Amino acid sequence: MLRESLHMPSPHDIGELYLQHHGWVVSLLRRKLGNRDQALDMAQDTFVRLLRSEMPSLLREPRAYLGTVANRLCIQHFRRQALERAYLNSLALMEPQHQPDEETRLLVLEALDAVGQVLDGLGSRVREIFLLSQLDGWTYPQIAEHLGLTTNVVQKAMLKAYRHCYASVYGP
Amino acid sequence: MRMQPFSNTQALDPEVLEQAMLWMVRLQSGLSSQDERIACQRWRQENTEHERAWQRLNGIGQGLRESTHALAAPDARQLLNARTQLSRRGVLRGMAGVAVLLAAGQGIRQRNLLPGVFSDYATATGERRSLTLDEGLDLKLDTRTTLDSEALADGRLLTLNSGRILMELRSSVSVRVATPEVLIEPAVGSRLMISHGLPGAFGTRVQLLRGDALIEQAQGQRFELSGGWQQAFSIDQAGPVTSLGAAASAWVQGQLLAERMPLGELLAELDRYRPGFLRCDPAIAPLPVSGAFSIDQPEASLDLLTKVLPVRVHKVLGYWANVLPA
Repeated sequence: MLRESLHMPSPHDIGELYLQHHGWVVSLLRRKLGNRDQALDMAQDTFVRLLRSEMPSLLREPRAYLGTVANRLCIQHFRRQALERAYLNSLALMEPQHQPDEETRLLVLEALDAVGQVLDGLGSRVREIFLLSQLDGWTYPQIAEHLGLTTNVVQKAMLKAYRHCYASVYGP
Repeated sequence: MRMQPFSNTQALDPEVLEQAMLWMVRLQSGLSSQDERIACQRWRQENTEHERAWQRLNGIGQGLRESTHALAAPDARQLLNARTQLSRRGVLRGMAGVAVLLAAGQGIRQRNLLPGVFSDYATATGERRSLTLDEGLDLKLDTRTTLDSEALADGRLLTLNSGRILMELRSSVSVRVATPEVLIEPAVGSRLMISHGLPGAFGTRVQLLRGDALIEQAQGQRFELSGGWQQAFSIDQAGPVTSLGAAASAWVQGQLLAERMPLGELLAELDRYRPGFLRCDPAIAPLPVSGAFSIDQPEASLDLLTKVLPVRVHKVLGYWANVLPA
């Protein structure tokens, strides 16, 4: 118990970190995002994440750790934007009266983004193989032929994808 | 009797998990033999831990399909690729003027985003499934249902997160069903349906086909319900007790029986069994409909509607369907 409590930052530690490094995190994020309000919002999220972290290195090298968390949030943010843009582009091809309403769009995006986060970290080829199997329902020989691979490579990619998804859903 | 918090994150033996993945990959390859399928079935039945690992892996695929059910598979793949491929500068330019929703700060472990992945048992859109959890405890899961099951010292606790189940309690196993609104304790010999979050019903609906059940709300109010009656519950309110028609359990046979049911309600019900989105033009939503509709073949049911009512169906990519005045 004592060991664990040493590894968990206390609210007091976070307060100190906030005072010392908040300005630095905001300027880091502002360079990446090009927008002050967004940078402030995301800096807030970065510090909120710290309350749940168990990293002992946090107190040793706060800026390295804060920078990593802030970076990860930025990447998630850009991916979400990329997804939204691709989705809006695809909707633009539909007749206006058949377009899904705002609420439905949001649900679709939320669900896709959640799926994307589970898959994040997989290489694009492994991801494609996994999705062809799980969403399109293709057999491994079909996937292998489509991508010009052997069935054995497809099978290995599937195992890799399952291990990855399991770890991101249930923890390593 | 208290509501028990449920945790479904117990770690699995890594070796069992690895074995389950090998089975899963073999059976999904399209190359497995009948013997292998039987051997896998046997492996799953050997040990509850094996089955648990299998169900979790199965849930990952189902979660993916559930989460993307509104889209055709190639479209979903394309969007997921786009999510990681566009350059950030391009993205920023392209997003000018579009309201951005910041997803940061929300973990992916939220049950509501990917309910299928986090549940012990889950059915996909249009799927119905039978389960026997204990000797004498039979369950049927309706479309888009997620259910957790936990063996506690004083009996089995089922947690219905979404959808609908029919349960039959044939011998004296102690079982309780929790929903976000109530805790239900059926008597031995009962046959009942429990649903949560269905269209047209607020909160939890309990329908007793046979037997008796005790129902307790989160704040401690208790109710009794007997065979032939139904009642709906929110966190702090209970609806009127009404009699239960024969049509209520028709879904078990793959049917939706309507007797002067407003079209809007019928379509909301059909929507749950159909991949994609089904919309009803408000102008025709009150039209009364009577008849037997197949929930296993929702497209055929839509066709049937266009024959008996002055309506037409406009489909986009097969997934988005709008029911409009003819």
